[in-house]
Amino acid sequence: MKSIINNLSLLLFAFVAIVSTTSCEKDHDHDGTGHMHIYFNNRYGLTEALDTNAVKTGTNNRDFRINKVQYYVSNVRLVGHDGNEVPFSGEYLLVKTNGVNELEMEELPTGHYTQLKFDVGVDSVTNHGDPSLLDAESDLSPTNNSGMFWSWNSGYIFFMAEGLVDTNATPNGTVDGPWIFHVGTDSYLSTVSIDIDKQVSEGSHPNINVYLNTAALFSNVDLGGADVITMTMNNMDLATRVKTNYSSAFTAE
Amino acid sequence: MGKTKVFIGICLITALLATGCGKDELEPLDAPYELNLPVGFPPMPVPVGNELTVKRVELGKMLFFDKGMSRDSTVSCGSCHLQTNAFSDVIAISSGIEGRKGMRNSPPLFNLGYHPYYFFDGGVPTLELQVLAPVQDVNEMDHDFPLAVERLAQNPRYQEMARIAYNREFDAFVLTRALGAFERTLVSGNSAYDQYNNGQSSALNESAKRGLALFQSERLSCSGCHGGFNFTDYSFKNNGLAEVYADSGRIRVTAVEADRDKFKVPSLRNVALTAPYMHDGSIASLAQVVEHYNSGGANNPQKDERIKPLNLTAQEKSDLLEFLNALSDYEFTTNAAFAE
Repeated sequence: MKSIINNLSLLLFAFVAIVSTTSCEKDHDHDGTGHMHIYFNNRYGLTEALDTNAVKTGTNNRDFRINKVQYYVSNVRLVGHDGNEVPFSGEYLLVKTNGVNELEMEELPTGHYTQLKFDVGVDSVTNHGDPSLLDAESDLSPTNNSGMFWSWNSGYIFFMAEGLVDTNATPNGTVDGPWIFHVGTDSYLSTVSIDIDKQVSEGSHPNINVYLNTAALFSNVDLGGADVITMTMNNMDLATRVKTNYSSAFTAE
Repeated sequence: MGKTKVFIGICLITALLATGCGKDELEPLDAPYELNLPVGFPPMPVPVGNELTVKRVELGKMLFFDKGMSRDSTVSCGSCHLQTNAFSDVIAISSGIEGRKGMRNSPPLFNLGYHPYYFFDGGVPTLELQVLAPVQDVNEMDHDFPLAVERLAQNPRYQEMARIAYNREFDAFVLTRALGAFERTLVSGNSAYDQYNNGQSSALNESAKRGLALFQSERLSCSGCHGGFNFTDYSFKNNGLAEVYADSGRIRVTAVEADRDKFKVPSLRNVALTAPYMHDGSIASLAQVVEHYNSGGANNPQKDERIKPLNLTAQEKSDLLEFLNALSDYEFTTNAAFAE
């Protein structure tokens, strides 16, 4: 009798397990996989590509130029409509000012994805690891010529934007002084969440384009003033404003 | 004739097979480097993967003295770290390429493997990573790191040694590790004080012995920070050098207000050989350093509580100096193994 109950409960357990697995699969539409690329692009405004030669006019008639915008993207994941998170590729991507900045996942579980999440920066373990162990070609190598590693205060610059601004007392349109935003250190890691609507079906190849609106970097920043340079530690107030600005300046389609 | 050809053929095949085998089995091309630590020194921590070997140290030494590290090939590590001065420099602020000046005094290099972090503000955790800073600093070598590696890699000697020492081509990995390996061999612990400490009572004269007692006294509190076998506790302190500091010190890397104007406590070994003194080289002589501490220093809000007027007599100052001079290790500063 006892063994029958045991067997029955085992059967029941197996049944529940099968049903739940099946229903799970239905929720996720995990019949197979699709192939996805995520592209990261720098823009100025919501439609214009970032042009490092263009001189823009900011607040108080101050002309400025953006020479460089580069940042690390890590811990990328897609969130399904059921709330489940799927890690995307697991790579650390250094998004450069121009060119193609892409992440690829060849076997992305099929499903309906409604949110894209990623971190701007790198996790603290990576931030305090020994990057000289990495191949020079790695996006994380301090020797890859990207300038994204602080050699005097070992750690990564998570987000770097630099350019020139008209510093003349009476603005005359000559961009002659630097503005520098270098944001890093563990507490400046930020997570970006963007709503998306992507259906990934078996064998499909949908892409996501992520856009950073670099014009938004200057909210609450007076480019005509003295407070335009931060290496984070020397000016945490500005670094915090810049982080807030870029963290909310991403869109995706 | 035919037989000879066959014989040569067999020889070639045998040689080829032997070579093939050799590739599979790692041959002991390199030998461990024996670090002879002075009596009383604890084992030196060495990072996994950069254990000391003869070739690693030899390669590191060559790189240490290679001016090709700098952008215009005029400055090597050894340019600002002179062996006769315990690998420090004789001027307040050393010159980088084109005579450029940074803002800090070149520190002496010895017993580095024991340091928990590097630079006056402690921002770098390993000797290997430390290499990146002077190469890239615009006021030091001002070189693009990949370009520096690329240029050094053209040296066939470096390529050969990199393969033996690290079993890979010369690259940034090899460059940073080999320099770290060489620097760990710069061990200094044979001063008159050490000889005295190891039982040779006559190694210190009476004045130096009185100086040692003063140094260790609660009244002076020198050993409160400059304690232990390496005469430092590696903490960050403000010693009242000025009321206002031009260089904000450790706060640069921590952004913690309590770290403002604080600098890593230096070892006092070889201190008589490392003038000028302090993080900015602003005190010219050791006698003036003793005067500084005797005065109690400037009124800086961050000043350590141990820095207060000491009311030293002329004899006490002289005894202290005698003791500090006895911390010089001339075996270290003349050791041919470390010379260019």
